[in-house]
Amino acid sequence: MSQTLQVEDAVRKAEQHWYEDGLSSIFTGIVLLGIVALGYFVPTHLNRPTALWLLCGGYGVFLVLAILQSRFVEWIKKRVTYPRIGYTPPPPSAVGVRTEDTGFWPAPPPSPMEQAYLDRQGQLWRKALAAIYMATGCIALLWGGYWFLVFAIICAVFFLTATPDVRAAYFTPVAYFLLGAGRRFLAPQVNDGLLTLVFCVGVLVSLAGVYKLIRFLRRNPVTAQTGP
Amino acid sequence: MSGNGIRDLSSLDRVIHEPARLMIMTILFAVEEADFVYLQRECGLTQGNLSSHLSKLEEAGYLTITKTFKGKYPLTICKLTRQGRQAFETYSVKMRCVTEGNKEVKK
Repeated sequence: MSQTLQVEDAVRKAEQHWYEDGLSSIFTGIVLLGIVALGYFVPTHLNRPTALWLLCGGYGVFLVLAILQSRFVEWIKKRVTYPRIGYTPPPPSAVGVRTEDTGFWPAPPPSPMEQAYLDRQGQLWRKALAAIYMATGCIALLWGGYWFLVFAIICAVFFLTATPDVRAAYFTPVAYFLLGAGRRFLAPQVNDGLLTLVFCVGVLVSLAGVYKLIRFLRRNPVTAQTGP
Repeated sequence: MSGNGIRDLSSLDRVIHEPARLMIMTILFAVEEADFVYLQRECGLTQGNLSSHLSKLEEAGYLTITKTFKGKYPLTICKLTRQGRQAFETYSVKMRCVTEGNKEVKK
């Protein structure tokens, strides 16, 4: 009898259910593209006294958006996803999503059953993988130039293969904000590579999300909810 | 578990033992709570069948059913009670005892 396996299978399906519509990917991609747009916009105002405010304000907005991503996604899910495939709470891998419980980020720790599932599915290895690729990003930032394109491809492969675990995707905008802002202040003349990198990742993540959303909408017509 | 061998099967919880209700209990044990559409999708049951099984589980005190509205749509949220969780865990342990022959498994 594989009772435990059956329960973990139910947890796994709930996790797939959460990422099935691609909304998380779309929002992450939009945040990344917004950072790129800001990176191109601000240099045209560098000679103006408002440049610093634009820079800080703009990056601050995207930082807030990244942190509030879960609330936006949940708001849309209530109107698009749940009427089609039903509702169940977000899985533990959706970091920052369970704000309903605490009212604040970060999310509470997963339950013992969820933790057992996470361990079993190798989430710890995925955490290590995310750390490796973030370290690679830091090296690429220091190296500069076309290595960003290589890193963008690595990121794209990671995003596409690591689904539905987008824990790393959630932290990516925050990490890029810190790295990008730091690079901007320390070496404002060298940032094309960074923008290219973020642009490539943003486009790929958004397109992957849009593809998943279109597939989701075509497969799942709206269902009128009923009950006993 | 008393350790009476095959006779332990007679003490299985019959409310949970029914396949459809076992599916429902397994899902709710895993995901904390879920709505009617989600359960229907995962279990593959008809609306009437699922309603019937949910009612029986509710009568046994194993789950709570909360009915609200989300816009025009009625939203039915099902959630295991503490009693339901304990019952499922007990059932799980008993089944493991029977199938794996471990009579020392504690509840």
